[in-house]
Amino acid sequence: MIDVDIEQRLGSFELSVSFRAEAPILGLFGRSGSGKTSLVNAFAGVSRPQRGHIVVNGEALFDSDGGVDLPPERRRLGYVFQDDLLFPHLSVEANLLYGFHRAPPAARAIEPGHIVELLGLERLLRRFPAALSGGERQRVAIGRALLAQPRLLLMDEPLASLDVLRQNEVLRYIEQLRDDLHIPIVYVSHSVGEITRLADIVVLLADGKSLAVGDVDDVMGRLELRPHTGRYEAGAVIEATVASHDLTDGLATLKFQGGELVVPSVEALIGERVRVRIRARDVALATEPPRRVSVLNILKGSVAAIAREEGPIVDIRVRVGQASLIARITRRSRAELGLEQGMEVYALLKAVSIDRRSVGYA
Amino acid sequence: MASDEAGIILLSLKVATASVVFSVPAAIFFAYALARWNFPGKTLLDALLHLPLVLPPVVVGFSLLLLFGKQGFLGRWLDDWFGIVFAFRWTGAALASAIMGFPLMVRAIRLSITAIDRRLETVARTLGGSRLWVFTSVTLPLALPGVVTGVLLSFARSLGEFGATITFVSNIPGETETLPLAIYSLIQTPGGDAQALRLSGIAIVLSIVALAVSEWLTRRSQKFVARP
Repeated sequence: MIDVDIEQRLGSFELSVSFRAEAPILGLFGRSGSGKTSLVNAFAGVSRPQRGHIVVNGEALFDSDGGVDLPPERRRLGYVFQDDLLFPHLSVEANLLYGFHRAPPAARAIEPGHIVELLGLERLLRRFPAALSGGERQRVAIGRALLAQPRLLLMDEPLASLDVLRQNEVLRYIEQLRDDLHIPIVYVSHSVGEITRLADIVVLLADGKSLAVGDVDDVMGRLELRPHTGRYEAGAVIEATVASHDLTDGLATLKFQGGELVVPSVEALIGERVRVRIRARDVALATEPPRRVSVLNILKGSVAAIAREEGPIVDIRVRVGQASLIARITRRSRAELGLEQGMEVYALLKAVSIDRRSVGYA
Repeated sequence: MASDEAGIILLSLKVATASVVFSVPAAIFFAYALARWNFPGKTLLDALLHLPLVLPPVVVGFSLLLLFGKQGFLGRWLDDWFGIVFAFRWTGAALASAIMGFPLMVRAIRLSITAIDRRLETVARTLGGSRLWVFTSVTLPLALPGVVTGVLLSFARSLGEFGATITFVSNIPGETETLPLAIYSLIQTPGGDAQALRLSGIAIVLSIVALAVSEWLTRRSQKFVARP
């Protein structure tokens, strides 16, 4: 359980954040300048809020009323920065063990051997940071943070300085950590893709304030938060399990609470849980079931909400079983179909609009 | 007179080594303070540390004589309590060299500390390192190129120190007569030119070796610190 309620003035910027959440991965989402890094600094003990508290799993790291302000080295938070910040004068092995040696022996539950294997670092141990690729460096940085036996892993834009290939590589490792080590992760990012793929609960930050806290698809799908979640990134997340693979066509069928989705084949076994992000502009609507169309996914649902908006575009939230989708259509289409709240509709989703980057492991 | 050339060279090396060894810890402290801390009087301290670089060496030597001489207030105090005497001893020559080389050493170390990404120190703290441990395990090793440069610059400066030394501890063969002082008195002596020339040659060689070693060490230590 992470319980945060802090106020901090930093020059003309005011940070005022309050949320309570429990999740394997907690996402802190916000545009640059929203206060993400200030919040992370307060967590790590690098800066001190004027008022409030930060409590992790029942232990106060900071509490202005109780006079608690642990120094960074006693907070036991694993901190992974945007830049890997490996110690350039130490080998990979010495980097990994830097925090391990400082942790009290009784607390050393995470073993170096296990981390080396989990993050695939065997071949790198004797090298120096200067001889590693960006993705390798970030993996070492994550391993180093974990071996300090943290009670919480703080990741501040850990993929920001990597190219797309390396991002996927590191994302896979982060997903493995979550499943393997059971250390709660606070994942800070301005990327909807990363947050929706990884986070279970998301805190939306804007102008130094926490605007919303909740399930990723709820918060990211809420229409009134769109100015902060981003216009072109609008979409919804569906949690599903892999039901079958069709090897001849290269397709996979995913089951979710509300129906089935056919998508290009995913790298997951039958029965594994995945998250699929469906962009609003990839969803079309029909008032009766269309026949003889190429679209593979035709989902029956009802109109849950319609965003009031100027301009040619309107976003419509469609409830499909327990899940919800957002469809971005023109106002003209909406008028021609006469869409109103509560109406029965069919959401049309081309399988090819879901690419590999839209699917993550849940 | 300057007959024992080996003795002169050994004395010079001894004076320079002692001056460097004893000033390194202080130089690291002041360099760190100037690079990382903000405190009232920082500019004044900075100016004070740089003073020997711009003052006439004779003035430094004279000040040392007033402070650390037999009748000087620090000199008497050190003699009474610790039995340490600087006046007219080789230790005084080392003190004069240390003071003259100090600004060079502090400057070099300070520059290399300023160049270190402070977030590396922050990371080390979050990994469980105390302030002192972070300083010894991260800051100091990363500042090593600067420390090496500072040490060798100040060592070379020490080998060449003349004005402050001769003012403070005079020119006593076998005790305070270092290489530059010996060369000076040989030039003043009829028929001493040949030996003066030889000693000058030795001084040039020593300086070149010191600079070459500094270059080599700096490059070696930078290999780890530099990023592609």
